[in-house]
Amino acid sequence: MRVGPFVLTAFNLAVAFYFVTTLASLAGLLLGKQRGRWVVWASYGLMAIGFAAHTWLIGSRWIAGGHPPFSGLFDAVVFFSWSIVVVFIAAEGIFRTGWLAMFVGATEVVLFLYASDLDRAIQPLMPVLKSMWLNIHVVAYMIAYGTMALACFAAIAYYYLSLADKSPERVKRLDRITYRLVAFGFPLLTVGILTGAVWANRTWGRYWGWDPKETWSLISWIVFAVYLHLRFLLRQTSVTPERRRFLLNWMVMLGFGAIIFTFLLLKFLPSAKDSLHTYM
Amino acid sequence: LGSAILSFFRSDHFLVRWLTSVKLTVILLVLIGLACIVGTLIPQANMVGASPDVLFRMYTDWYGLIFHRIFNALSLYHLFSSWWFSVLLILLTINMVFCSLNRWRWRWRQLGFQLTHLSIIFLLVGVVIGLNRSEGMLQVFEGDSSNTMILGWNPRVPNSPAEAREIAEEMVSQNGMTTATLPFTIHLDDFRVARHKQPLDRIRFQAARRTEGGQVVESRIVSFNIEHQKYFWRPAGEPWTIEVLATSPVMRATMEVVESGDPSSAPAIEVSVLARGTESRRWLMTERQKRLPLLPDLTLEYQAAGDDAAWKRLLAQDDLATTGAPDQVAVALGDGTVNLPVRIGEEQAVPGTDLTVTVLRLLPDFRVGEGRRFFSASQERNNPAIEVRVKSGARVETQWLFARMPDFNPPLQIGDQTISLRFLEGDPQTPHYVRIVDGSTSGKRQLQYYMDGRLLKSQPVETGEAMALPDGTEIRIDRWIEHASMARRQEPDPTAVAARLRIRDLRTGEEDETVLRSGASEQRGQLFFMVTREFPIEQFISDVEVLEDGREVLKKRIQMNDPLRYGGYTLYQSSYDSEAGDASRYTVLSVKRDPGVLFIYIGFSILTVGLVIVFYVNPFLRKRKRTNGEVEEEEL
Repeated sequence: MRVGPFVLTAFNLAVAFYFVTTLASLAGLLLGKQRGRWVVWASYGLMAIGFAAHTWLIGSRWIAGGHPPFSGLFDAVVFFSWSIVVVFIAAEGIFRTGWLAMFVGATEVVLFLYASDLDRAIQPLMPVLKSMWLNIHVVAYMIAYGTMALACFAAIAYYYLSLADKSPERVKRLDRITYRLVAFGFPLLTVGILTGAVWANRTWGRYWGWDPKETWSLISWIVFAVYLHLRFLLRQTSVTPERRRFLLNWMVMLGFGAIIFTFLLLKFLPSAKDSLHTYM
Repeated sequence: LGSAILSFFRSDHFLVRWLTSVKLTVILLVLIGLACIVGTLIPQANMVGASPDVLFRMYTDWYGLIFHRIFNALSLYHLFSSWWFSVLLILLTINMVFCSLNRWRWRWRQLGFQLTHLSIIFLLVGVVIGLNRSEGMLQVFEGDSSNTMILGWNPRVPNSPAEAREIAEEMVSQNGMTTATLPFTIHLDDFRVARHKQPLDRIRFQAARRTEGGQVVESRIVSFNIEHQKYFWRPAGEPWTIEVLATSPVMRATMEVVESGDPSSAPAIEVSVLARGTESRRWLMTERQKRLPLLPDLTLEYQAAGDDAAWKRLLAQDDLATTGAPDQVAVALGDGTVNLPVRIGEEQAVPGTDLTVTVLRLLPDFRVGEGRRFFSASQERNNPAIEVRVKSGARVETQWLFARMPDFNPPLQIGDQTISLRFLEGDPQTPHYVRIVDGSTSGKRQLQYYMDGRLLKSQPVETGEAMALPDGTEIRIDRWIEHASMARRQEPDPTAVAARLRIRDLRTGEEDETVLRSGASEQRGQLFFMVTREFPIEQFISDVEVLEDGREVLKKRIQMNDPLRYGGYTLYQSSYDSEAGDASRYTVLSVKRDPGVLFIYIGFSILTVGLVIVFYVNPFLRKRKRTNGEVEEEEL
């Protein structure tokens, strides 16, 4: 269907609703907790419609291709952005932040704009991808990535709050949210790496080859491992809680940066052309 | 004893305190992380896989000679196998073990922590056992066997052009690569690339993203499956919508041999040749296509005997006088030379020695492709070359010999013997030669099989009857036409498709339709679009037999993600002749034996269970305790 100059597809529908969600969530934040309550609820509703279109997009590609749509870069980006929303729904149910939808909506719009330029052909699975381990690998990684994305948003919000808002209770709570998200995502990140290693061993006969993709997935893992250990370590030192949280939230943003680099930006590495991994 | 060990890990010695500190963990993790970043910013020598002089030129171009030498001294080009990186990993392992034992207490709540941190012991054991793993590549030709795998080779990076030559000479003295012998032999029956039956039809859009002086510098390509394109599409930033209305087959003209009824026309036969698992069908007409070089070593000839005298003369011919000398391999050993005929795949003994010579393959037009892959550019004898395997006891050497460049190959050194090999090119007559004689007037047909110019077999043939040659090739006459002529026929081309597209200009509202055939492209403004049809690869299949002492012990179909396991080794489908594509006549299997993997997998499982307990089970239990009014405990 065509609406004026716009072509109505699940893809375009999803990105449009995510865009409006971002605006609504931002308005809710600016209006304040009491006055903005209805706008925040509206942002949830808009996100739900966007998410439904998003799910429809993935589902129709699954049916058309006959296999879970994980293989091309387009599908990977669409699935990554979908898992951010899935984790958001669960996390918002627990933490009730109200403002997280703004970050999620904005991220969705950016990822969709990036995906709009990518090849959308649904190809049959390449022989190398025909493995049960691949599915576990992808699902574990996507939930982990989604969780770490939310942790990164919480870390960004932490900086905003610690500068603008002086309420130590809210700052402390936010730091706690970041920690709980990382603590949930870290085992999944590990499972992602380990199942990837098992898959590589079954396909190429080696579980670890220091390929750029593998190395960078280890780097992202190390950043979060350092975060978890530093959190424990700094508590035993004389570092003030403010400085401790300042440092730790930086680590989370760094970690998510490393994830984005691993996932999407490796092609800019001088060593990437020799990598075995596709979509680069 | 247990408590004595534990008290050691809890002792106040500064070294123990240092090794049990979390501070050390964080420092080591940060250092390993930084090293990993460096290792991906500097392309690693084993990943680049270039020759020593190329490596030297590349690295000095990038970093300059001084930094190159510093980097090389710090083993930054082999960072992940460098001693200092290993030291970091070993220190981290020791640190984790010390941390675990230092905090060891018989409490449930400790379980997750201990499992997580002690799993690294299994990983270390796995890696250490894996240090003497064997891995290599096994290249096998169809119908041939091999037990010699080529080992991976990780050359050191030279500091000067002179050193580059030195390393290259080391390479040459090892004939390019080092090999190892497997305790069993792999025989390849057939290799093939299986493709999906269902074609993948796509419409591809290519839009200029950046142009400079009218030239497209950068473009983006987006493609859609036509099958799924039920809606309009507007390429980002382009004022068009495009809609696929329908697809239709593309007709192609084929030439067909038909009965003309004209008594002056010569007869023709349609012949099927089944060789090495592939069947090909060809028309042979006595007037046009009389002789066909069907395979590199087989020629098919069709002759019509116009009268009885010719029929008798042709049938009586028991050797092909046209043949010159066959292709030969000259083996010079000490002061004697032995000439052996070129028989592909046959292991021939050199009389008076313990040597055997096997010609593995013959390329009529030898070329080197990407990644040191050898292929024949055509069937013409422009640069004939053979690959020869020389065996003496357990020692095996392979070498390429070039007929027109006899001095190209250095003599081979096997044990204390020096052997010079030459490829003596004969008359390009193929060793196998089949002639079908048609006694047009009598209606009789006779098949004659010559090997190396001598008649081996002569028998009458009927249409539809298959005849097997001694090398396993089967020949069958499918049809016979007495008075043949060529006719043109239209039929749908399964490799092509056409799509009818409707394009709408959003600025003016104008619509127009166009039919685009696959392979052709059309341009609107800055936008190119084309329709493509391909049959995507479904699987790479190697049908192999495992031989022990020449006897078959196992048959297996090796596919991607479905390796062969035998005798502690695992053989994975790895590569093939990508220049030849689907017609590849060899497969490359990657061979691994790594008993350490078991420990790695145990470590993986323990690590996963440990993390699940630490991050999912423990917080859940703590939460329950907290609601029961108990004190919150410290994390981790």
